[in-house]
Amino acid sequence: MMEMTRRGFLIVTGAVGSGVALSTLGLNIDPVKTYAEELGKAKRLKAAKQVTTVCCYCSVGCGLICSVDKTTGKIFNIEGDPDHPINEGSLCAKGAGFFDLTEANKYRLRKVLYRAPLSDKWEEKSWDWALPRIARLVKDTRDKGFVTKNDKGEIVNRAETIAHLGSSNVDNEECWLMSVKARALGMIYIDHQARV
Amino acid sequence: MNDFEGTSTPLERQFENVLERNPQSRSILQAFEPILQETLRLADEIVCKEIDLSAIDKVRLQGGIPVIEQTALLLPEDPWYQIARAMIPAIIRGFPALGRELLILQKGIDDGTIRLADFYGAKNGQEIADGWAKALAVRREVLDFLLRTAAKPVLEKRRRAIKELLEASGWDKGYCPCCGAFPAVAVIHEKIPQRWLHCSQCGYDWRFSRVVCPYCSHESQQEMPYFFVEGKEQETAFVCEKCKRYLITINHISNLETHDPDVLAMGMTYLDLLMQQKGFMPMTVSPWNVFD
Repeated sequence: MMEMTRRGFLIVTGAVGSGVALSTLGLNIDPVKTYAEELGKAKRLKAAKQVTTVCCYCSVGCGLICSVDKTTGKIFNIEGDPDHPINEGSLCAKGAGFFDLTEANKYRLRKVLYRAPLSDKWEEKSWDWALPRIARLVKDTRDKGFVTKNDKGEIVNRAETIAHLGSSNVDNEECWLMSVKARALGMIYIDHQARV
Repeated sequence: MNDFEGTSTPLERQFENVLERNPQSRSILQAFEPILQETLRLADEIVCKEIDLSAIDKVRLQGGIPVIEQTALLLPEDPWYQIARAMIPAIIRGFPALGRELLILQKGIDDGTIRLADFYGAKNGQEIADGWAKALAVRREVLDFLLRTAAKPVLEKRRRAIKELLEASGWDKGYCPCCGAFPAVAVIHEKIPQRWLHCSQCGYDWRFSRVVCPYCSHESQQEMPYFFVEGKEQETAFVCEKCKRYLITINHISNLETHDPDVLAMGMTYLDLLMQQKGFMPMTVSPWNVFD
């Protein structure tokens, strides 16, 4: 029959109780204290948090863990969630590159770049210039080739002169919005390069 | 004093690597290195009575009742004399300041004043130890340190013997399924970032959720906080705002190299100090995380 309880055992092994201070055992821990102090003074101890989320890409819905700097609110690391039942921590190439979607990616475009027909140069443009121009060109192109009825006389309302491709680099929700917009304009040539 | 020069065993290389990354922990690493070496050697060599596996109810184990609550892990008939005679010189090598008192304890063991078999397993072990400390005029802390250190080879041996049983239990609690202690340190693997908790009492490692506090089971999918050191992002301390406990965690450790979580933790005692200064407490007391 067992004499010692779990708590008694943990007291014996020192897992509970106040423990024995290292200095009591004759160790000089001044270097540890000094180092800790230096880190404090240099403000090198940073606070962060883990946030779980779901990959924005395909419908598999893999789990991710984001590490967020509490001071700046910025994500500084993204990894697979090992406790997620779908992916158990693994990520495909797109999921593994998820971090590049954040503003930490130094190659993200930050301005509108326009290349005029037959030009070999990119010009920076403002959004106030770019958005009305895109809308004008889409409207004009759509109107030029819009098919209201097919050969059988059935109403089809098709915009046959514009195709829509993309995007493998946006999340499911944005993809849905883009698809709905394209279909609302009557586009039928709609594809997504992720499947290619 | 051993400066790890010309060392060749994997454990010694571990100590070298940790010392290189955290030279401020030199005194701690050099103190515990001989003890850890001796613990592992004794765990290989000693002969202990086998645990009665029939006393361990697998259903209860799966339900969260650790082995220690079902059967004894430390028995009076374990080779305590052999362990003490081997361990005392190792402790003296690491902690020379304790030499005088440890030699008194060794003499007491030799002449029968101290019968370690009377202590392990007894309900009134603390009273027994009090009596010994008074009789031999040694500090209770030194005796406790010896008693705890001597228990480790036996725990390591017993834990190894029931490893398969523990692994098959599907254990998902924050405390050790073998000895019931809370983890002293955790590691998060590099490729598939699973979190593995490590028990510094018996050496068992078990997988645990990334978003649940092992101590109080508080789950936080959106706010699990931790601290890291800029420039040493692998060395972190996860904290729980609910229970105010912290857990030293080595982040993104490679699966390609062997690592001893205890040795890694010894190099990170500066984080223990910083967390305790912030008002957090460790999930468990370990020999290297108690400061004045």
